[in-house]
Amino acid sequence: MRLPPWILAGPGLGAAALLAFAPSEGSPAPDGRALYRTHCAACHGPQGRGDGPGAALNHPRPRDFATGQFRLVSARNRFPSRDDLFRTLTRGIPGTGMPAWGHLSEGDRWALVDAVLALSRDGIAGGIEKVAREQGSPLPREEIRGMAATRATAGAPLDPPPMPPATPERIASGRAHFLESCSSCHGEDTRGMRDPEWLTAEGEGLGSRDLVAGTFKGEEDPVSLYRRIEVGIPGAPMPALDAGDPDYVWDLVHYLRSIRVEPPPPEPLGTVWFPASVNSQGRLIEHDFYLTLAVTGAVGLLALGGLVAALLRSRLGSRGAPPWRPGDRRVFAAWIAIPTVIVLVMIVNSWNVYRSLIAPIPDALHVKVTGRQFFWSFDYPGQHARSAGVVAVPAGRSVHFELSSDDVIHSFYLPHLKMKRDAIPGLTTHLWVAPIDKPGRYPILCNQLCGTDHAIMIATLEVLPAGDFDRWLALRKE
Amino acid sequence: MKIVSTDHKVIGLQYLGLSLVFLVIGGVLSMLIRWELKDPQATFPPDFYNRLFTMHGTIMIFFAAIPLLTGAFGNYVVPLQIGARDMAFPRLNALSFWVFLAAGVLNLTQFFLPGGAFAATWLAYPPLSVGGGFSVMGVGKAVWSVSIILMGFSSILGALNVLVTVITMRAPGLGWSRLPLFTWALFLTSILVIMVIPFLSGALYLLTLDQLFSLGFFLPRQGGSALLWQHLFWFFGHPEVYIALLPLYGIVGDILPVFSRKTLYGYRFIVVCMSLTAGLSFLVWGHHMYVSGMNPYAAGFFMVWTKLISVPAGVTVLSFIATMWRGDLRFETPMLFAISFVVTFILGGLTGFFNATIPVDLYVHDTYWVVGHFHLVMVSAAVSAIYAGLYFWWPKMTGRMLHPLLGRIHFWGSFVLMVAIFALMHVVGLAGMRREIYVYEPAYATPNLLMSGGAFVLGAFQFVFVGNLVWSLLKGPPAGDNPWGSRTLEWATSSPPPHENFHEDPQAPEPYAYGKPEDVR
Repeated sequence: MRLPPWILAGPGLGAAALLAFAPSEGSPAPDGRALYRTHCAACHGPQGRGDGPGAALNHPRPRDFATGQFRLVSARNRFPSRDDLFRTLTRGIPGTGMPAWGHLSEGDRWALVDAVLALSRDGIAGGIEKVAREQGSPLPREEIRGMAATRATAGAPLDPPPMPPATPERIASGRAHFLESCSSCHGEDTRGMRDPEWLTAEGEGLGSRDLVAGTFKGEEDPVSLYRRIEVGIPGAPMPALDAGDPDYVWDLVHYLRSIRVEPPPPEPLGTVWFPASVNSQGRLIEHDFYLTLAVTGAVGLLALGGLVAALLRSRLGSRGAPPWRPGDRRVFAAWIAIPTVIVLVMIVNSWNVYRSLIAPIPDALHVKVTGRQFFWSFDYPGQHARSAGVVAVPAGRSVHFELSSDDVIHSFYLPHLKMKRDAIPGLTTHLWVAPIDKPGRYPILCNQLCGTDHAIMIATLEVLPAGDFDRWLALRKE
Repeated sequence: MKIVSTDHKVIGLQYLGLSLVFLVIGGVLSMLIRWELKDPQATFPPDFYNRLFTMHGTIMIFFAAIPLLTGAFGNYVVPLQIGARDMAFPRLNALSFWVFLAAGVLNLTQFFLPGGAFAATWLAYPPLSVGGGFSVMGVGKAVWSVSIILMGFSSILGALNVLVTVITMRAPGLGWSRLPLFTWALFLTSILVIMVIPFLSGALYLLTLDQLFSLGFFLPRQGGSALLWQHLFWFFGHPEVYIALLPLYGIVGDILPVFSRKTLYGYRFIVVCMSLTAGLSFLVWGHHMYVSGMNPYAAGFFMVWTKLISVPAGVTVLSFIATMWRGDLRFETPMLFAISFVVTFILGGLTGFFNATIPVDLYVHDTYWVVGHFHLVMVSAAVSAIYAGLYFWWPKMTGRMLHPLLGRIHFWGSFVLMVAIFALMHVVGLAGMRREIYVYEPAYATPNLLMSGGAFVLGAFQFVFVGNLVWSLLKGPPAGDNPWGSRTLEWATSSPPPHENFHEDPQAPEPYAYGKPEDVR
């Protein structure tokens, strides 16, 4: 019987299938609208009105592009340039549910910027048309388009003169300017305030920023700070200073930089071994790992050693006739009994560790967590505070995360705590976290494939000194 | 040769050819996965990547590994080993192959459907697998489900056939205590297939209805349960691992004594341990769900049995080593790959012990540690044993020998890289790297670059094997009836065997009685 030749057709068939399959994905020129639908519409909505299915769980709410109000701008007419949007897209908005998209190719990001600008223009035009119609004087379409295009065009970016050196005098005069222009909202202590009157363009209450330790939305380089002070933050209560006097603004920047404690960088992950554990549970889990490693390592070395000895013996030793050894009952009794005892001991040990890890902890800070494609939303029950993309907890206090999901299964994974727990729609699960010793910023990753942008479903756990935590929470109260 | 044949050897070769085609497709997908992961940035669009690993897993498990082991080796070898003229139901046997072909083709059509192939991993956890959450996922998801149901149907038919054949068609004198280990393995695996595939199929029927008509069995918003799927899937899914593992034991257990010229150490104990493994496999599914919404205390039950199942597995491996101990070892290519199985199975089994430990799993669950673990078992160990079987039985199937030096090159390249790549996956998982992500933290860049480079070289080494097959078909020296000096019955006939297998009625041998002294006989 001859072998059929098509047995060797496998490589050809595989390649053909893949060739047919590969080009059906991306096209040569990135399609901004398609990318927008893929990555952005879940929160910003199909038309960019900030009304996607994920919008309600985002705090602050996602931007409504039709208002034409974008937070991070650099021109006096307060409309973002393509560069502004590109930067925001690339680095995300820290402290919110808006993730960083820097992993997308530059071409894709520019296409997304243009798609967002087009949606904004269309939204603005729709608004003008509506107002005109309501006032009984409908306008020709061309004229509306022209008006919208004018509004949705950034002016020249504010280009400050070179920064003068920071001298004690300049910092002191910056403090004086601060008391004159800023302290009514940011407080004389610069740590931020809360006023029920302050609302965003999306109608949400918002505290002013803690300028010492709070997370800034935008970049912290001097020019960016200069621009943000001078043109303000559109859509948020922060007005444009419009001082027009570069020295005045530079002094403010110098003062700001002199009081600013930059947030610590995120705690590093490992490369080929554990990231450092930061609480008792993490250390307990690491300990159980090393115990398992010791036992399995010994067993593995014995078994592999036996194998290598058997191979070497045949290679180097005399090649006499192999002995007749069909198996010995006593040997098997030992092979079964000894490992069973070891395994049972390890089961008891791990069970005790596990029980201590899932035991409820009294007086833990209660935080409700909701997974949503593709961000984490947080709620502090009884405190009237909510957030997305970032959750703060006080150092030295245990936390009870109560997990659920609004759509598909997610998994709440904290590498530095060595713990994770699935967030499942229709169910509530719990993660009890022992006090974290070290203030810092720790990543929270989604660890269960949840859709297109699963890879970047990352939030930040901010462990703050107790006083800073109270301030953080107060500024977010509703 | 007729295309539609009822000869178990032809069907076995058809299974072999088709599952190797799928192995190649799945392998090319894995190369694309490693291409994306060579650096932390995005190369492909995210959903393209999601499709890659989903279809890689689907094809490798359902359309390559299982049909290779049960369909190809099982069909070709089992009737020969028990001295039967064919399978008990030759036409049913043909049907199971043609259903496999239909299921495989149907599965591949996903790539060409609007919305593309399924992207929600081969575990297909709802609600994600039902829809929503991907930029594009059309009717392909239901095609995926239906093709797996069809494949399960094919597996059940094949398993029934093996059971009836082994029970009723053994040669005179071939009692259960003389059954070659591979036949025992296929017998036990077939029982598992018949018991667990219906659970998968049933769950898939419900999933298909959810996917097509949104009936809501697994959709919490409609009163369904997202977790129910996981229980049903893993009740199938973990025994599925042993469906693949037992035939590997069988292959290696049949090869080691031949090339050690020594009897299998503890034949009866190995059979008992294999049966124990099969039985316990029904009690361990929850270890895939330690971090899920399952009652956290239920995890303890699953930890007990998951850890205890390592005992019979360990005993089997120790028996294999004891078989080689003081043997007259001959390092032919099948033996090399059989030893590779023993080494990688020890490594993969031990890293599995970590996953079974709930506190450790809280951390490593769904990280690259787990990816490394199951690739160590399902690639390093399984592929080693599959290659051992191919090198071992190829002369019987074709009547021609393979080139020993090419085999040696293929072995060393594959063995070293299969251990190194998957060991790296473990440690990068310990560092916290999640599975199923197409962009990752820059901290993991170096190990990933090494893994990708290693994977491409590993892929290249497989061309040595393909070249060897071609060389053997064109120029390979004739094999003769029994080139390895084996005692099992498949070698007691010509290579390849004639239609109806044996020229005269075979006499049942003691399969492993190498060097048995006269006075014990």
